[in-house]
Amino acid sequence: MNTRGGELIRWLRKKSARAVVADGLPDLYPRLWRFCLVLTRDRNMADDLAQMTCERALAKADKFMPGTDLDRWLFTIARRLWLNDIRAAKVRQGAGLVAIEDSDLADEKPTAEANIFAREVFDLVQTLPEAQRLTVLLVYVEGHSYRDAAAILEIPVGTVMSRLASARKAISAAAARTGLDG
Amino acid sequence: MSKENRPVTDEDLTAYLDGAADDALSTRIAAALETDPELAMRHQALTIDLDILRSAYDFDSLRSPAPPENLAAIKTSLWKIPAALAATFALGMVAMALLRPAPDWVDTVASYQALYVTETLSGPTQPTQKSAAVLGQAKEMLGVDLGAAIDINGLTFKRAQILAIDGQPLIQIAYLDDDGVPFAFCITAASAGGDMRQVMSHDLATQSWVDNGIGYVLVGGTDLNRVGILSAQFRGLL
Repeated sequence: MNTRGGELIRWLRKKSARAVVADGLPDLYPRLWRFCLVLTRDRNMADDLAQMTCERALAKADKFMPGTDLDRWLFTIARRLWLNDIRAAKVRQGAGLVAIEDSDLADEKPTAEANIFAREVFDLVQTLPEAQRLTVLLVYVEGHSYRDAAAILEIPVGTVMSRLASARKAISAAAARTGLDG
Repeated sequence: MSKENRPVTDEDLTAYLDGAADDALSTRIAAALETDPELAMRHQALTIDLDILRSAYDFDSLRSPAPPENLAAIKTSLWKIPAALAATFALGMVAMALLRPAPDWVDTVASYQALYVTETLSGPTQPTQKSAAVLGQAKEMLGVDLGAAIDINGLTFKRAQILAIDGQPLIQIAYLDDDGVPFAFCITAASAGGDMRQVMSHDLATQSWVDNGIGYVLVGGTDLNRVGILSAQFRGLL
């Protein structure tokens, strides 16, 4: 193929990738925000991180491969942004500080028993180490396979399994203590 | 030890519970659970109610926000970034020759602010009650009344939040100016300094000062003169 033809195809591929990313972001935004909430444990920080992820994704859209999963790509960007840019900058929700937003999560919620249980389980999972709660989100809430979760988190499948086992033990033990296990 | 005889690990049990174990492992665990009380106890200790877990994270429970209406605008603005970056870089190159390096904490704040664009703050303004709660907590932590920082000429208040820097609380008050440029006024405990100090940091104009052990920094845009004028307003009000 001549050089000009190759350039044209690369240009069309980039254009297509940008369109796929731009079109897909609004629908995926709630899931992206939830991923960011689990990472940051704070609604304001989740807002920031989700927005930053969208901006980074659009800026780097030509790196996205159409036909692959946009959600996985966004989650990876969000996680790297958090680890490399935000947490590394040492500005993050402080250990020991009361996260005002956390307490707001329960506001104006129906008081049905199932909702109370869900709220308590949410609080419980959010106390797990970052690695475990992310893995729980990806596999049990998002429904990703072990292999997909491993790819998003850039870890071996065995590590996904050990994180899930640890998280299950912690959740089960806490549920038994608080009567959540029925 | 053959694969069939090795002990069942918690990871094996987790895969079994998740339906992710292969047929041979599933059969082996199912059989062992009938006869091995210790394994049955471990199985029980790994059992959780996934339906409740999922409902804890459903979008209604989390009150997750709607997608920003400006996602399309973000897309548009991003194509302008290379030009904006080039302009900022050129300005920065001229200014850097005249400027001192930013103190560490100011540099850290600027690195965080550098990730902000108009759309980061273009959602609804934080409810007054929430802002008051955050600023009340800030006053308890740092002993500074920041109430006046909500009403600054030339800047529209968007929200206040508590972050941390090196384990110390850091209060961030975020604004947009009339052109949509994000600004942040941040306060944290600081030991050194006292003079007003202007530097470019992470391609952003910053002005910082320290009063009575509290460090203040205003960061945003690329105009050092502008942050100087705004900082005087902050200093007068606080």
